[in-house]
Amino acid sequence: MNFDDIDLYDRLLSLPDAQLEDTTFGVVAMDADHRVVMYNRTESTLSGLSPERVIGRHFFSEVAPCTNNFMVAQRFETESELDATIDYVFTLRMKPTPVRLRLLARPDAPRRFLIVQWS
Amino acid sequence: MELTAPSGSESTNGELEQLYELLYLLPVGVVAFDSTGTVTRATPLSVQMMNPFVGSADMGNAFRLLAPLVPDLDRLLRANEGGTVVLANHRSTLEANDSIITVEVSVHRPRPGYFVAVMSDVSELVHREHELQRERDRIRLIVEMVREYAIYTIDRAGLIDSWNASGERLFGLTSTQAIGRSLDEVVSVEKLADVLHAATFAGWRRTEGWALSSPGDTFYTDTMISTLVDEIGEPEGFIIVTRDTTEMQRREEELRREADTDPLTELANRRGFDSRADRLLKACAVNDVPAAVLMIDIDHFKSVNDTHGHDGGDLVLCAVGAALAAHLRTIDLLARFGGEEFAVLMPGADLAAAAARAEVLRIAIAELAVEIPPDAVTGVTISLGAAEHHRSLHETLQRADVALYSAKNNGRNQVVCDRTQPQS
Repeated sequence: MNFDDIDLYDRLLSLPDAQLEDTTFGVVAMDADHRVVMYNRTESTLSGLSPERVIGRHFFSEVAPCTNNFMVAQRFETESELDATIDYVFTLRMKPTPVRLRLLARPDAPRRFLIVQWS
Repeated sequence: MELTAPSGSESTNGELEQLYELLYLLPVGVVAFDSTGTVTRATPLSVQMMNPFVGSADMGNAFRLLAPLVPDLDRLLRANEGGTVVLANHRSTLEANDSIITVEVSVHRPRPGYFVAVMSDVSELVHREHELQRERDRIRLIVEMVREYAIYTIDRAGLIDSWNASGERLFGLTSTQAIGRSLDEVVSVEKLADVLHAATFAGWRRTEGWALSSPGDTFYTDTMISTLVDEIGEPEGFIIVTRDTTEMQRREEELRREADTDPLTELANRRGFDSRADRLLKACAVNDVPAAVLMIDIDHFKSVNDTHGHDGGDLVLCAVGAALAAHLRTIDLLARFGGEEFAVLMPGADLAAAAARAEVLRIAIAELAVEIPPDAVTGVTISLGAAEHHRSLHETLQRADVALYSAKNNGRNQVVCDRTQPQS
């Protein structure tokens, strides 16, 4: 499973959480209110935050406020159907790291995803 | 950068996680970098703030990351080799995507070769400062433009520290002459010192009184004092607004006088009589002296009007009024009650004194010859009723009126005294 796979969203939705833990990219799954429902091991290791600290929190305002802007949060909020890849900079463990983000949302899907690929 | 957590106990990991969380959510941007500009650590907010203005590729270098705020940061670092503060509270306004933000940045050098930039979004603060400044300008304009209101402030020590153009108009001193001098040297307003003292405790006070300008003009003023307080609520001076109300006062006085005066004879009218009689009777009661009332009516006045017209009638009324006044003391209150009816209140007079005076008046009027142009001369007589004051003015007037009625019935041109005994 790769960051750029065309059917990435479908595969993320179909696989059980256990099989999403050790991907080469970070996976953040959110509900329709953008509360975190799954925070995979790769993402957790990168950020230094354990899933327990993150699950249930509003991702854009309570976990990663640096994404609370027009480039990320606003797109999730205004576009119900979304599959976009953007260049971004994350400050994982306070280290500015260029990343690629894939924003996945569909009105009928139970989960939305923010996928993080670091360079 | 290593992706594994540092070795240590569970609790250390937990603490590290808390530290991460704190830094992720820190509401200020903090960027640590070395002398080449390479960013070693940065909080998410620093990146988020600069995101719309700096490309992703430039985020790893502080000189490029902060370029929109401080274009020459590298030069500043070199120029400020020794200091611990490279840049303090430097503000820049940035514009992107319809939003304008103002960022304040400080750059510190905790140790040689290690720099920390701290950035805050102060847009809201700037907005409020701007609003405040606008409000200040607006108020300054009002204070300078407003006419007739002297607006000035004094400090804790009682020295004038602001003075507007109307202050000059009212008190005759320019702001240069007034500012820095003590209030009592400059502003001479009755009771002002006492009122200031009261305002210190009450927060504000208002007073009216006479004032004296520097060139020596007196004028009547209405003054409002409001206490100014410092950050901890302690009084630190006053703002004072003084208005010249002389003209208003004069007009009010004129209106009052007009309302109390009979325009034809210029004697008091019924209203003027009532208001002044009240005070006179109180004074009599206080001094335990009697008072008496005369009711006076011109006999056969209708025939005067019939013979000489209303203008002739008016001349007779004026002449009678003047003659009555001429034969009364200045303390006596004479009024025209309307038509051809007059009344006199005589403070200090008992019934006998009033009757004697009434007789003097009767004779004076009987001897009066009123010239009516072009060539007529007429005379009139009056009937008088006298009563001594016992209880209320109203009651005394009634008894004098009854006596007057008797005088009329008994053939006119005479005085009748009320002999009713006061009932206790």
